[in-house]
Amino acid sequence: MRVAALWFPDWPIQAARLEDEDLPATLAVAEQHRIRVCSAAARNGGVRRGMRVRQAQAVCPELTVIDADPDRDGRMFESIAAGLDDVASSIEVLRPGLIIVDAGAAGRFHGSEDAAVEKLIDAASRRGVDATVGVADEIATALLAARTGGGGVVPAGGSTGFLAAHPVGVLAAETSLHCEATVVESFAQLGVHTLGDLAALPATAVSTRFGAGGLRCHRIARAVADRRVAPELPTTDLSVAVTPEDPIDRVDAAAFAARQLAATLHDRLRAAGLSCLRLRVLAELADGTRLERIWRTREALDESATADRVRWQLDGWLTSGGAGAITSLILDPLETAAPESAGALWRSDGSTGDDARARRVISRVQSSLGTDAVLQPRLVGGRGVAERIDFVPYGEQRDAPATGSWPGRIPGPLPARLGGGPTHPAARVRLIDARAEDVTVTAEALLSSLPYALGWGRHRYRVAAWAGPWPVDGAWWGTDPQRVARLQVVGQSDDETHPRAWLLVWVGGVGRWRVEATYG
Amino acid sequence: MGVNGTPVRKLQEVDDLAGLSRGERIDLLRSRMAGLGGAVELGQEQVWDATQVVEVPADLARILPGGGLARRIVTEVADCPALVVELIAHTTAAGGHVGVVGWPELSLAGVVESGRLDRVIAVPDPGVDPLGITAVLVEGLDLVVARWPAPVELSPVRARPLLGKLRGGVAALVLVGASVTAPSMRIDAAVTTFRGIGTGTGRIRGVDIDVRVTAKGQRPASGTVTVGQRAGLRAV
Repeated sequence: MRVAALWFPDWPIQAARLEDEDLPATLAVAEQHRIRVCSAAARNGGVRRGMRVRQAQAVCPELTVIDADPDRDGRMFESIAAGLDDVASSIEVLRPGLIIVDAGAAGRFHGSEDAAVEKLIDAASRRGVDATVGVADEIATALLAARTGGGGVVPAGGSTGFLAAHPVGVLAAETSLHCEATVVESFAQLGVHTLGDLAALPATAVSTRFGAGGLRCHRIARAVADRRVAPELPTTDLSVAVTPEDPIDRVDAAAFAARQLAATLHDRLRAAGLSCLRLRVLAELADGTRLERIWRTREALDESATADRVRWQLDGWLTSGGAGAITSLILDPLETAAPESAGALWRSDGSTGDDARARRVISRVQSSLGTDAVLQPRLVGGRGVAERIDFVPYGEQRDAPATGSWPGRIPGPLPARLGGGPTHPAARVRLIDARAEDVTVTAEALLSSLPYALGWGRHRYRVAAWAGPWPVDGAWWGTDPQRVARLQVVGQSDDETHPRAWLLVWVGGVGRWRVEATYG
Repeated sequence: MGVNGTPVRKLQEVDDLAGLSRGERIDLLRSRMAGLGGAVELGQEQVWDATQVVEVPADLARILPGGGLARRIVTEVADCPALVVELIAHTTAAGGHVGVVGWPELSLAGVVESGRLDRVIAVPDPGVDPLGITAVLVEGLDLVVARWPAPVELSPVRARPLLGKLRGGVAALVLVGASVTAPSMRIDAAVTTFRGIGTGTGRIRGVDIDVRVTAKGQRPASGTVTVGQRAGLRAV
């Protein structure tokens, strides 16, 4: 595979000049008080990358410093990249100022590699724009060839010989090579001065001493075949937006806007032959804040389903209070897919039918109660019982919770009733020992004495068995540390035939027992 | 055959019956009705059909008629969350969808171990019309658990729309804390034993739930549902 790299040296400087032709020759782009890029004239004046702006101005008093603007770099580069598109079919923009082209394909089309490269240079040339070309077998070698001495062509199979004389420092100079500066620096400190020296080292030795970063440098130095040129795939922007003349502050107006917007979106999707599986609803409020929520469905959203979701969402935002009038509304289909209705025709096991039926009734309940009333439980992990389950509105997509093993969690069977139950909503729990003194949890996470009886509201239970306490020292890194300890207690009342069991939690800060959950 | 090809009943067939005995006549007419699609169910009506149930834990299946919670009818269950969580876990593990209406204190953490949480939805606050919400859910889910915080007697007038929807759907309805007149099945349950915990030692490893099932047309049955560790043989 042959790759051609087009490098536009000091592109931020060139971009700034393209935009404003009156800028002087001695120019530098600064970011966070340090020089990021400087022009050739400034470099001759002693300015270097990474210098402090004050230092640069001291060594070169006529220096003009402008702020870095990645948007400008990208914007100016867009027209050049579009011009190259006419010459070569697959180009990839690594960053503004650096393009790689599949030279093999372009060469076959234009007759020879030389002709293709010549056409590329012609297409890239503009007034005031410098570009150099490097051609080689690998992407990394082509990049280095473009950056060396005004560009050059490395013959096929000659990459290792070409790279051998280069100092290792070139790896860190180009960000698109993804080599860590610290690794490259340590190579130089250890006496590995050229890429040839580096390539001569055994791969295992490099990998054990420098890890993945070192291996990456080593692969470049040995000219190992890398990935292919990956041109950007064409995408169409399917999102629709509406900005009403008067901000929406009423629910019925919101419903109307939602219906209209959903119809527009589905016209677009229909034209593109797609159906929407994940939808982002984005609203801008009068005070400038942006609210957004992502909906995901297993089956494609149709027009009325989309309108319903948008209406519920706007309804929620408008009626929850605090959120002001909506000035602008955007629907963005994040994930689309070709409709797959062909499978349903031959499906006879009925399993998907059950799913569809369940979703239908759930969305009916959602439309009568509101989306936030129909919840889907999900496991978020935790050591207690109540904290393990989190509820999200049905159909809403949230980030997946962090997975962990939660050592020291309360093991199953778990108590199924949170809190004390219907007859004891907020009753206080007291645990006493045989001398009728309160049983507490000490700083060493031990019980202060053996529990004998438990008082729960008006009821008295003799403690038949207990286990624990199991301490959890949570959030000690924050401002609100929680020291709790959990205790399983089985109590027997004189009036009842069966024992009862509770999961009690000792709240360290308050110094009292609380019923976290009840067994049975 | 008539003129336009429509089959016309032959009148002389009626006369054929005259020569038969009463028993033979009834059999002949019955077989004809079966041919017309209006089959008369012979023998005793099958009330508890094994295919029309929602799967339940094996301990409970042994004592339930039909081996599970019957679909399309009301089952009253005592306020025993441990048993309800077991029912939910089993139904979701078998691929069913479960809805829980009006029970915010029910901890679904126990479902995770043997069931699937993504097949459960909860409506903790069903608003002013919990019966209406339940009636919608029974049309599409496999098991709906509706719970009232204080015991309530649903009059036939209030329950009728719900029961109508229930017969039209596929769900098994479990009412907790509410009772209808003449329920088809009632499950009383109470936790009786906590196993594995001592005075400051062990932990709760197993829970026994004593269950008593009263079903229409069946003799009451009782049994024990064990969650977690079962009672084992102990060396004495």
